[in-house]
Amino acid sequence: MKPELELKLQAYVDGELSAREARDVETAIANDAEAQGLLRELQTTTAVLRQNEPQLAVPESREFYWSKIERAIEQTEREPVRPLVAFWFSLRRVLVPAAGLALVLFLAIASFKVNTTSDPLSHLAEVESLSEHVSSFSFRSHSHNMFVVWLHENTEQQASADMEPEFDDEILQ
Amino acid sequence: MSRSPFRCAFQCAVVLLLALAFACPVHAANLKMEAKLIWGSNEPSKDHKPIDAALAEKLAATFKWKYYYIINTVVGDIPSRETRKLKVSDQCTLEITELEGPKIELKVIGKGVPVNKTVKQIVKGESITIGGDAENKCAWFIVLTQLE
Repeated sequence: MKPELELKLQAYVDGELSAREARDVETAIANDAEAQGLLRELQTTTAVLRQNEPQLAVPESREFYWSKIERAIEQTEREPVRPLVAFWFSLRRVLVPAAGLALVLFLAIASFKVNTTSDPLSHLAEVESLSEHVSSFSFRSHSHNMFVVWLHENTEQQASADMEPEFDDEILQ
Repeated sequence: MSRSPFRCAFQCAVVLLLALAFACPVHAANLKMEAKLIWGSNEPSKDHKPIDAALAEKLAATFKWKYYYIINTVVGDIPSRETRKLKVSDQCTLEITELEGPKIELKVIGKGVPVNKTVKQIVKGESITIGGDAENKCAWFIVLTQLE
């Protein structure tokens, strides 16, 4: 018997042939005793397999298995973190407030510097005499951090002679 | 290891508030100024109280007089962008205006007549001294200092 016919018979038994092919197979095996014998054997084997396939039933219910899986998941979540991860977490607990403190200190120092940075023009002043009888001159003592405005009547020229400005004093006007 | 979102938000808010408090300078704050009327002389006087040693040393290093006595001390608050008068003696009044900068405009009024005007930036720790000759080769000083 040809192998092609054997394969066709197998497909015929499994119901995989079209109606026309099935008719062709039936015609082919009508006068072939060997083919008929093989057909019967295949049909018997298929029937035996279908009827005697073992049906395995799980003793526990689906919910039972799911509860086991759920418990396993929860247990995994509760597992302690590994030492390296724990170290980084503990480090983060210290680093976050430390970083905040550092930021505050930085801003405090920056603010202090802004407030104390000496503006080179900050010592300049506008001094104006509002009376024609009174004149003035001014200077700044760097060493004593003092700005002086000295008033004197126009008739007296003695005032300037009374002053003893230091060498680092800067006459501004 | 999960942290409460409220706790995290609270910490962030505290840090932000502190940062803002330090970063934003206080604008247009009131000034508290102290004016000291001082008499300078080369003769010691038992009738007057000497000024504190530090200020005496500063004045003596700058001016020729040996002794400095406190006559009057006046303290006044000058609100932002406003003017206040400080009467340091019967004859002398200071008119202080707080200006933007921060600066102050200092007007000296003697016997009711404005005699001098000074506009100067306020520098921390710096004092403004206004002075003039007085009788008997003495001198008067007004030392103006920012207290706050």
